[in-house]
Amino acid sequence: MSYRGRGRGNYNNYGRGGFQRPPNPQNINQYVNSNSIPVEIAGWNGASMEDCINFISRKCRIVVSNANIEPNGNIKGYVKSEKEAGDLLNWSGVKFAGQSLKITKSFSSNGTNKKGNTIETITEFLKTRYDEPSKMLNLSSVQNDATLNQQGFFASISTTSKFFPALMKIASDLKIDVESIDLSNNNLNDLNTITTLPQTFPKLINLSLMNNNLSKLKVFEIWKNKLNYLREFIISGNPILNNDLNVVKLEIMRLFPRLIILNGEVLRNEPKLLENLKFPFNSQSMMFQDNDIHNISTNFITNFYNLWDTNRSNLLQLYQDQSQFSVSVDMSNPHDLNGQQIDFTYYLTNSRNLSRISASKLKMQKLFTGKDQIANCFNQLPKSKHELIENSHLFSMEAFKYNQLNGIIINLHGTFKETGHPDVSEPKKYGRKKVSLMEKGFDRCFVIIPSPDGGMIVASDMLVIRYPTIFKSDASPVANASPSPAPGIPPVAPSPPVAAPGMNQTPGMTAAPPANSPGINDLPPDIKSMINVTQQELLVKVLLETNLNLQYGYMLCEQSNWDYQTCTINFKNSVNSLPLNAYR
Amino acid sequence: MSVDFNSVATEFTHFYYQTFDNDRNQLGNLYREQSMLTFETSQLQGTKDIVEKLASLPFQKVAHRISTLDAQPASPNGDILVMVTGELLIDDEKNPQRYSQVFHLIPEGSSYFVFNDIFRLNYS
Repeated sequence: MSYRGRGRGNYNNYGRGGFQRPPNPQNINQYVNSNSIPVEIAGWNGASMEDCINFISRKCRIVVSNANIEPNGNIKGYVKSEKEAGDLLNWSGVKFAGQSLKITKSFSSNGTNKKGNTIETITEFLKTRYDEPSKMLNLSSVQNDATLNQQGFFASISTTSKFFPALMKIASDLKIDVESIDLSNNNLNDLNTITTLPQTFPKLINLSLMNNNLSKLKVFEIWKNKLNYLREFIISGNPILNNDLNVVKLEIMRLFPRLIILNGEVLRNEPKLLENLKFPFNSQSMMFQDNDIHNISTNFITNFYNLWDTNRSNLLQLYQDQSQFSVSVDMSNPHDLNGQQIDFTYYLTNSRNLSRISASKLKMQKLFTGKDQIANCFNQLPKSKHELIENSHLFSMEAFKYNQLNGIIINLHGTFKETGHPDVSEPKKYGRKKVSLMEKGFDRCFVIIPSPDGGMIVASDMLVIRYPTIFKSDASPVANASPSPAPGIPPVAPSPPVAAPGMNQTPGMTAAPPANSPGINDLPPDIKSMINVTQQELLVKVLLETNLNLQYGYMLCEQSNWDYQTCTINFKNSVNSLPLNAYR
Repeated sequence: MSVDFNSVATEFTHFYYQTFDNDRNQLGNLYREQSMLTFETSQLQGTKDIVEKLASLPFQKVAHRISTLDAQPASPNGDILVMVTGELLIDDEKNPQRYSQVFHLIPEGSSYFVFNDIFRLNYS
């Protein structure tokens, strides 16, 4: 089956905290009271315990919870009622993975059910170790815990190795809200018993694994990019620190993108990190279907372009066998660039413009499918710099759900700089011609879908390369500081100025504006064509009163539904956050 | 591949702009109740609202000129994504405006409808 039809994961690992419901401590008692009838299953060893439980849930429509493997090799779990237990027993003998399942009700020797005690004991343990005000879970030295030992918990190795998984499971069901965990002094050699920690505690900020027995850096690999809120991490008192400390630091930083402090040492500049993680676009230039889409798509774009510009081959992990990528070149010149020619050489060989190519074989050849073809094409594109953060006003974006694939469509538009020649440029294609690197415009459409492992896949990726925005000089602070740029030049109004064609003046300098008092006649024709006369009057009024430039004035009016009072209020509310270049 | 998505995309796009330029009130046939249109900063759903929006755009004469057209098959069900850039000539204005537009087409019987239509003038 194609992965495209399989998208049923979620986006928890896209850098947000997941969709956990708020914690409810009362659940603890309810939880203990339900799920109370123990059952035992034998003859399941043909597959994993999870497979067996899932099989039962599908086949018998009965959920067996808190399953564990008993020392005798049977699965012990719980169902909600005597009736469910009876129903389940009727399925005894059902074929599973080549064997017959033998299902019985389970009783412990002393008349109370031993398993129930296990859940209850762990639940009680969690309650005593959890401090709600500080959202701190103290799991330090669990083997020395008097209550647990009294229950004979750590008598055998197998119970010890199952304690943490069971604890995670119960904590996960209880939905306790945890920001800090102390797992010090637990003789952990690796993370095998606590692999699910990121899923159980997605909002974890502080974690201590102090004084354990961790010796290899690679044990952390399973948590890579999973603890996206982890700020402070303590691994002192582990043999791992006998390695080269710089390597340890770099590895840990790579695995935990938001980590600030390791063993008390500050690794990253926190304000700068937060600045980089801030959403880089003007909200005015974006359209999102809802908040989730907003978060996921902005995270995606920020991370994607960071790698696209610095380490493009690293992005290939997001592309799979059926992923597709294509480029097309839009060479139509929208405006007079003083005769300046834009060099599209590097893109032309791969351009897939269906309105230009007719041979169907060629059409298919230029649709790159699968990692290898896509990698090959990526390598043939020049190196680039997208100033998403420094010059966010150069970009705009829209994102929508793609429900059928449980995915998202993201559109990004903007301008980028070419900073280097492609890694692979075939001389036979370009001859001796010297290809110039320059600024270009682009539109790009991504379809991203969740991958089975909780990450994401780029299913479709379409890129258009085109002329850059006309008023690019307007983007530089120098130009903004100059007193003359007048309405008619901002990026929102790319219509060439009213000056006669052929005058070849520098874009942005031609509008010949009556600088301080724009009237309706000074509005560029394309703006006038989009709004009616009343709206034109409002726009002029707003421009005069706010001193905003045309781009921002127009956005303000549009977002205020062309209502004067709303404009005034919105302007007051956002006046402090507007960039300098919002003004004339 | 049973359907040539390249041909579908090309034919659709030409038909769409031809209809738009001649009488955009007729575009309703291409949308359904679940369809969405994003036109600059307006978001609309459903045939009626979409056609109303398109009809109310403040120009009389309009002509689309396609510069680039690219398409990819987007799902096992036969969805197609079409990405277009082009120029828009409004009324008697000589200077075209550049736009980019993405259509998400979904097969319906032997035809297709527009599930998502994202239109953007290229200011930046």
